[in-house]
Amino acid sequence: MRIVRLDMTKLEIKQEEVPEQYRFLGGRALTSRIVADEVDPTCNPIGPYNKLVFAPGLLSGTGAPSSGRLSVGSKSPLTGGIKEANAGGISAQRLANAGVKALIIEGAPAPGKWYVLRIDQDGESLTEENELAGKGTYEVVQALRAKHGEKTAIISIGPAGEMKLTNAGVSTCDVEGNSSRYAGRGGLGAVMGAKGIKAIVIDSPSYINAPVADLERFRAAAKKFTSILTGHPVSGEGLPAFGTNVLMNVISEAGALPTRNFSRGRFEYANAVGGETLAEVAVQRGGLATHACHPGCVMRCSNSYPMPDGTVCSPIEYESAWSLGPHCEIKDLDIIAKLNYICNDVGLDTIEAGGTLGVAMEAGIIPWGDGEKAVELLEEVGKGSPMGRIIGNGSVFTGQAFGVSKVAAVKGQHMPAYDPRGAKGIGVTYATSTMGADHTAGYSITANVLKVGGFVDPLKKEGQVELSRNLQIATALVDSTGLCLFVAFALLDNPDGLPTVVEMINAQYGLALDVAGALDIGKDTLRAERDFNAKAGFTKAHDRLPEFFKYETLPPHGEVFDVPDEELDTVFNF
Amino acid sequence: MRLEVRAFAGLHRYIAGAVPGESFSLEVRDGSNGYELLHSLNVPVKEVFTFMVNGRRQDLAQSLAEGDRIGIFPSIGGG
Repeated sequence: MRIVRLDMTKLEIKQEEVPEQYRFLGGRALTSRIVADEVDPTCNPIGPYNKLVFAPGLLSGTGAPSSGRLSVGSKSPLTGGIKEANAGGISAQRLANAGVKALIIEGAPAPGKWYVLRIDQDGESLTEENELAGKGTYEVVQALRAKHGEKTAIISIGPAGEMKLTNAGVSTCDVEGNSSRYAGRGGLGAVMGAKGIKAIVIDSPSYINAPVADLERFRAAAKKFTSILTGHPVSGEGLPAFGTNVLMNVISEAGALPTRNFSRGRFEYANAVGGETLAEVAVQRGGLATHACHPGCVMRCSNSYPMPDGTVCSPIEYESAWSLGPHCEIKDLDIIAKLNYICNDVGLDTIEAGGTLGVAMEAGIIPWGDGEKAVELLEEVGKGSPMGRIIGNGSVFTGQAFGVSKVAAVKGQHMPAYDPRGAKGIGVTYATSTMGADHTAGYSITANVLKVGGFVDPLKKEGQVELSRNLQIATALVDSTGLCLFVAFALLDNPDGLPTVVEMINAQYGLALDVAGALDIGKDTLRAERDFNAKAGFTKAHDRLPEFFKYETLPPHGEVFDVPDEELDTVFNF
Repeated sequence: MRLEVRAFAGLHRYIAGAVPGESFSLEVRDGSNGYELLHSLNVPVKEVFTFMVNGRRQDLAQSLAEGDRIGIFPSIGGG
């Protein structure tokens, strides 16, 4: 395995040996470590001193089930802190099978030039391809696959990344070439744009033949882990049947579905935009209710939704359906699909984009629930109009531009699909995560609503800090393995789960880690991220929710977010 | 007493005439609990992982009250 270093100032590619201290790191642990080691925390995120790091997880590119996650790390243009954005699709498997442990992009080229990096098992090459400038990601994938092969993985940015907007995401693709698997959060598409990289093409002879020290032992552990995943009701039955958007109804019933910019916790049309309806309509129109975002995933939580004009949006995830739906009081799945597709094509994170549309509605720019107007407004981003650039810079920027005080963001990043007054454990994660408001960083909805890994009453303040702390540590580990975070449902309920993950890592790398040792990877990662953020200027004051969550009650339960500040400050005491 | 009931994520298939996720009104004996409700709906208890009453998780043995909003779910997750 090698580290590829691309210097965009000198337009020079180097292959480096993997340093000893990085050998047993992968995914988030590796991207965050490299960013902490090499990037000045006070640098300008879109300047030449920031770096963009791609790393497959420890297990990515092997036969471990559901292990194809890619980590993308950098200093975030959206939050100003460290960022690890995590994506599905086939890029991590391709990178690992091309022999790449990490790709580091640094420096900056002369403005106005656009490059494509190609990586395969024989090496790398960089070409100037200015004709791709301004193109949407779907067209970029199509053009590059026509040239490099229909099975290549394509990482790309859309016009939003080229314009260096702070809500620009990094797109990756699935087997079919949908440029819809995003390392979306935190504006890392703007960093890629600042480096002049329009796309990265990755080819490899296989998806599953990354080096493994003890293959027989590894296969036994991977087989056992597969049965642990398929044996759990969530990963074995629920996710394959209805996808992630099955959450829409349960979160609404629980009174924690942020509706009309966090004004109430239930949406009366939740079912119209939820997973059950989505699955039914998708199948009726010849789409798919279940779909794998990468080969070897046994949970297959993705879907393929044909829009009325025949164009397919694949997938529509819960978080996107919420941000582009109930958050804006939009109740039409076809409109949600259209907005989602625009985000994919222009190169935007869907959570932040929907969050921003809600802020625009709060500002009175377009009416609540008006899907057609929302489509028109979002299309402005790709055109690069002044209004489009405001919207493309995310919710906080848009709130400032139009004098809106009610913006549900932490560290500059908009909240996902759970109101912290209706599920207080997720509020602790939003407030304290190194990433800004991020549900995946410590997904307390498991114990708060889904009763996975125990139960902590979502409306009480007690127990939420400990819940979030433990999940944040475990998540930092899972994000480093390349396993999809949805394996956590089984890990939390099945005592054999985590030991089997550790067994796969040990067999692959010839290690003798125990579970505690593996969790240390998670703890070390969080410490490195916290340290980076402190040096970037973050204090306790940044580990807080916007004040309206303390003072405005949320129907139907009438709760405020009341976990005390002093308790939030203890989340990282470990 | 009357209850407002919704069945989600496939559980509607046990209930005659139920539409997935859409509410229907049901008359039950005063003081009925969750077990009795599921029995009258023909929904197997083992299929129900989350039984929500007025937006809160509730034990099936607990009595229900007039006008309660009930949501029944199998084991689900996402995110």
